[in-house]
Amino acid sequence: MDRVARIVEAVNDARQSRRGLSIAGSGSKRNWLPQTDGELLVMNEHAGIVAYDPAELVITARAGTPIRVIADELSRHEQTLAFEPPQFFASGTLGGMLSAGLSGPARPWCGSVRDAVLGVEMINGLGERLTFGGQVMKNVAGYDISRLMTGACGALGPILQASVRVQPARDFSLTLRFALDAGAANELCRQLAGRYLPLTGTWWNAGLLSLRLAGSEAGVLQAAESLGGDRVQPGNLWQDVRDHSAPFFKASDAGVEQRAGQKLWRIVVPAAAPMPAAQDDDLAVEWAGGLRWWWHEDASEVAAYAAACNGWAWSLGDQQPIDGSHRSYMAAIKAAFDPDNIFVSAMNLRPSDAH
Amino acid sequence: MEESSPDRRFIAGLLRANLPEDGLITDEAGLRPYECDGLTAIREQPWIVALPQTEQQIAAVLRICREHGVPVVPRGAGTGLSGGARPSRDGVVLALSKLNQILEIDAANCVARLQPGVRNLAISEAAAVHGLYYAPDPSSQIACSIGGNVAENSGGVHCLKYGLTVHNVLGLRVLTMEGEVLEFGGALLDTPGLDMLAVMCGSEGMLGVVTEVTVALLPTPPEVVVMLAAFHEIEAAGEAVAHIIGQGIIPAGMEMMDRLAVQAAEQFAHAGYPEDAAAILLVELDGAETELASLTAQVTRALKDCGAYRLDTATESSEQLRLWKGRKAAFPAVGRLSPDYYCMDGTIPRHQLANVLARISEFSAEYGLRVANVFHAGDGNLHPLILFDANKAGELQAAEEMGGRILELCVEVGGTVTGEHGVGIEKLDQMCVQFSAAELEQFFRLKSAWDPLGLLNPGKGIPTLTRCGELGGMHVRHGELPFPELERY
Repeated sequence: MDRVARIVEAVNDARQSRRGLSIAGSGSKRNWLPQTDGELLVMNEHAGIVAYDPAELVITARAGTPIRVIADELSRHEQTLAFEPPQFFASGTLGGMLSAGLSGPARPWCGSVRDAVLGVEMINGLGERLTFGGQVMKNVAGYDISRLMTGACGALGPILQASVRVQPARDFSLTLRFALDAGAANELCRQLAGRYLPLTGTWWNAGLLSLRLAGSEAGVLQAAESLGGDRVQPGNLWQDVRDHSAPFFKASDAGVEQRAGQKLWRIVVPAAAPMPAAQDDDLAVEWAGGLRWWWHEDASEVAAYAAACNGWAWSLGDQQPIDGSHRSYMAAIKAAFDPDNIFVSAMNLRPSDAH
Repeated sequence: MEESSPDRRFIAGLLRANLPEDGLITDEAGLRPYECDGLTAIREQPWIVALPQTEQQIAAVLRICREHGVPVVPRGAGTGLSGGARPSRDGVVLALSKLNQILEIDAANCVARLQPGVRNLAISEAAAVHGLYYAPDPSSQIACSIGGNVAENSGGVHCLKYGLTVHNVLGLRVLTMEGEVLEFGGALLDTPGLDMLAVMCGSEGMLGVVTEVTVALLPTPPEVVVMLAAFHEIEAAGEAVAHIIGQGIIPAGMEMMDRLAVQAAEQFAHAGYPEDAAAILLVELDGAETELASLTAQVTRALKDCGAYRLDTATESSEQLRLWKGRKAAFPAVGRLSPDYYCMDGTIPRHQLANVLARISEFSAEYGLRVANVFHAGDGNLHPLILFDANKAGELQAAEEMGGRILELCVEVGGTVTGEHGVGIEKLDQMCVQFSAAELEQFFRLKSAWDPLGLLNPGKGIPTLTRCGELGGMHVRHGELPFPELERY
């Protein structure tokens, strides 16, 4: 269904009456992004696949299209969104997928969601309907606003429609498991990083490292031979890691508070950085070391650790850490798209903070 | 500013005081190499060229220019093909070639940290000892700089499988015209806030000056196979590309050349190309030995099923170099056919290839100029090479006009006016066709967020609305007439 006219009208109404609008999809990122207090502009009815050409490796769909609908259509043609977008609470829309900018376990080897964006149609804070990028990967006409919109959490305006690069699905997959502590697991991952392997995921938690190999059967079997470890049936492991339905991510289970006083921190560091001084149960590691999850009650300790590693840390539900000069330039970009601050977003950039 | 005006002398003095001894060029002979980049038809003698060696010197140049309202044109290796580094007459060319140090090859994290003047190929050369390489490989890679690659979001043969510069850059250190040092990312797979790395890639030196780049390094594939397939019809070659991708195979590279390009390349490079082919396809596959054997078999079948009448498969390195030799020599080879040529750069959806080539053929007849076509078949990026003789009255203009129409055709069929060479000066008019007034104004507001005074590489990349209005090639989107404030009669 095409709801562009209603959406444009809603944006223009908000401009006229100087009301704030919070762009909303299915609400699946509610554990991640801080609450916003604008009037909701729900995009879900503006949905539907607009164009899909498997041979061109691109799909175009409206923002409200559920990720599952897109994934199902792609899998009918043995294709996939290689960056493995999470579907928290078994939901999520294309617009939310792009706006939150989150990628799944395959990110280091298969690219990020932002890498896969080819073009977006959006509405800016002046109520103007704009199209940037297109349906082709090789495209350097103008600034890369499509990729700037990715991960912008709706700060610059709603995405109406987007074209995303798709990849052939990898048809054969195997999971290997190794009993290793966090440090030894990371050592192994670092050794593997320098080798040409069909690796598409790593997950370490509580003394166990799982590696996912995916690709051609011949290639995967050859790699598995050389790596050793135990071949295991992963069950829903990789989906649970992607969607945060694995037990590690749960603050409480069956009503029992497991993580009293702790917050879940998402820490991005150079993959070879040392492990934090965390309890085994409080720590999980993805992206071959590049993404670490830490349940911790001491925010300053986490921040100090991330800084010492030249990385960054974000506690889910809070603002992303944007400092000083970064904030002033990002606020200036916000002002360039939404000078009247119509769009109230989890990425709390205000035009008044511009340099 | 007047030549040798007191202002100019004063500013030159300030610059000289902040640069090393050989860091300022003011004499005409010294300035001449900086008059243009790889697009030699468009030249402008610069007022002055600054050659800093450190970030502090760059910061000083930017500060002085900001304080005196002097435009700054950043320049890498000067190999760009869209005039992005063409000087401003009253401006400083900020040449970054002396910042050419590889700061670190970090094999543990599989990244390299580089100064902007490091040559693209030098990165892979330095990483090779660790079994790693830097994937984006524009054809100018022996000369082009990583800073320039960031400015243009450069691609190359292997970007089909391994991505463009934006997919391989993890960190940037940027000096803004306002005097800020901004550092984004590092050896990190994402960053907080807005994606500043993405917006810097492809920004053509208009948003900030890159002083450091952190790139991802990949493990070198253990085995490579290169195949050359010859077809009696272009359509068949295009079909073969779709067929290969439709089977779920993304080759490391896929290049197509039409008859004129093949003949030129063969006469020049003697790589053994079939001169009677309507089109050839070069396919490179990489991977581990076992999977590569089955991939090669699949691709062989696909090529034959689509009508390839000749198929060469090279597994030995020397043979592979021979097969690539012709393609890599395509541009200079075509240059021998004619005193001049004009290399175009557009991207189209792949299934439009036969249609677009047929229309180019019509243009060629209309303008009386031959066109050889080289095509990054995997991603739809087309390089028509328009042959002309600048000494013949009107031919340069005809070539430029035909080129413009080709780019507009790219937009018409759902593509874009530039796939990898950038807009620079060259494609400003075509930007008026691809984008609406509101979109162009959005680009300007984004630019102002970084460079409110408009001193960085002015007049490049994004056309002004006035220019578009004068052109008459306006773009009406969603029924909204652009430039409604301009009267029409």
